[in-house]
Amino acid sequence: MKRLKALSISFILSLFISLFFLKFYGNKINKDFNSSVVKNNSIKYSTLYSKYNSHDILTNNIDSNTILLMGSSELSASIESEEHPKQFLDFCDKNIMQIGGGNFQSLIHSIILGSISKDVDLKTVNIILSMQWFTKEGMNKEAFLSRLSIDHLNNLYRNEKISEKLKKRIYNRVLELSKDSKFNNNYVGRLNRDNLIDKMVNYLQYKKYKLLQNSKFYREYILDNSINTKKFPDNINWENYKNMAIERAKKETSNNNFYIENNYFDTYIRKDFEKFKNSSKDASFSESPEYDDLQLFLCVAKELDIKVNMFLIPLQGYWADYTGISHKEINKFYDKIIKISKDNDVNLIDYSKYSYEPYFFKDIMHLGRLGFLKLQKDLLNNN
Amino acid sequence: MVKKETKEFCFRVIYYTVMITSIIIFCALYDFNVVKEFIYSNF
Repeated sequence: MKRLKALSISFILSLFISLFFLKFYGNKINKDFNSSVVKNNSIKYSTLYSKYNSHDILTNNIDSNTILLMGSSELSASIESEEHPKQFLDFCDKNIMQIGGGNFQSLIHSIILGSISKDVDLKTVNIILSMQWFTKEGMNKEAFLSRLSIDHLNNLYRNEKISEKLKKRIYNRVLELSKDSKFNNNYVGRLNRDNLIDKMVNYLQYKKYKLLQNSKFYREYILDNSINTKKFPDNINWENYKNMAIERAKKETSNNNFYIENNYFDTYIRKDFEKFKNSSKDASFSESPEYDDLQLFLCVAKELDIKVNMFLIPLQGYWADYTGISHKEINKFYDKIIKISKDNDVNLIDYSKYSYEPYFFKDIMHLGRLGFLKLQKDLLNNN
Repeated sequence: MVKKETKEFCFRVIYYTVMITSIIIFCALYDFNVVKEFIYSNF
């Protein structure tokens, strides 16, 4: 009896102490690191996955001067080049919040958009579509599990601006891709249910993953104390920047005829160059689950009343021809994207005509110096 | 003088409190996703 009494008292004491500690810990990390501490764009251009996965980090760093850009690996592949937004659009009154790394595709962006729009008043979202997403298999299951953020999923669940019907469509797609993950199955299953206990557990999990995700970012991010006071210029001489970019790119692509950067060519292609010839002749882009995922993304934007600028990035033409990808398949992809954009009343910014433009790509798929210049010119015109 | 029984009781309360608090904080700050996935995929 005495032991039971001691245990009961301890349990109540523990609850109070834990709650106090967690509240103190949560407040401390937020206070130490809230957005007002960082007076530059280092978080906006950070390529840490812990940034992309944290609702608070993203929402605290998007303001009225920020253009929201969602994409995938191209955002990090050219990060150090002079034409990347990190260097080119690094102003206090004009900047970009970039969201996306390798294996970020439409579904992951749907969840992130549904999450951050809960707390940020977004007018426009820009998404870079890579043709490589639209394969027969669509989003890779393992890659999806590694990119899914429970924090964003929780915030999507709590976003009342999105209908339950659409949320259920997203949950079902998440479940489809999470067959190998019992954790995700249980987790999303609980979000799908609506009883009091599940709601309570969901709330505790929401708090827990918010704290975990924020503290993970704070551990990884190296604080930049500098103050950015640079103002966006009235005029940009695009022609001048284009000429400089071409000069730089020429020097970087001198060891091959495909306008691929020397380092990339030496590291990934030279050894198997002969093997690559016609290696993708059976590649197909006309049927892919990714089209439905893209539709989900557009539905989320529509329900939130957010304008979508969709950037269609083609394949690198010279390399696509060498690997034997059929023009018929490529055109089918273009037609599908054009149809989706018309059906959803989306602003499509079509770069398919730049497929063979030298230096538009840096390698076989990622935007290069000219590609980034064009992208930013269009971003500024459409935001 | 504090009675031996009272002392023992206080010790018990402190001991249990430390243990339970540690478990609660650990559960709150540790991502079990990692452990669960490991168990599910290996056993």
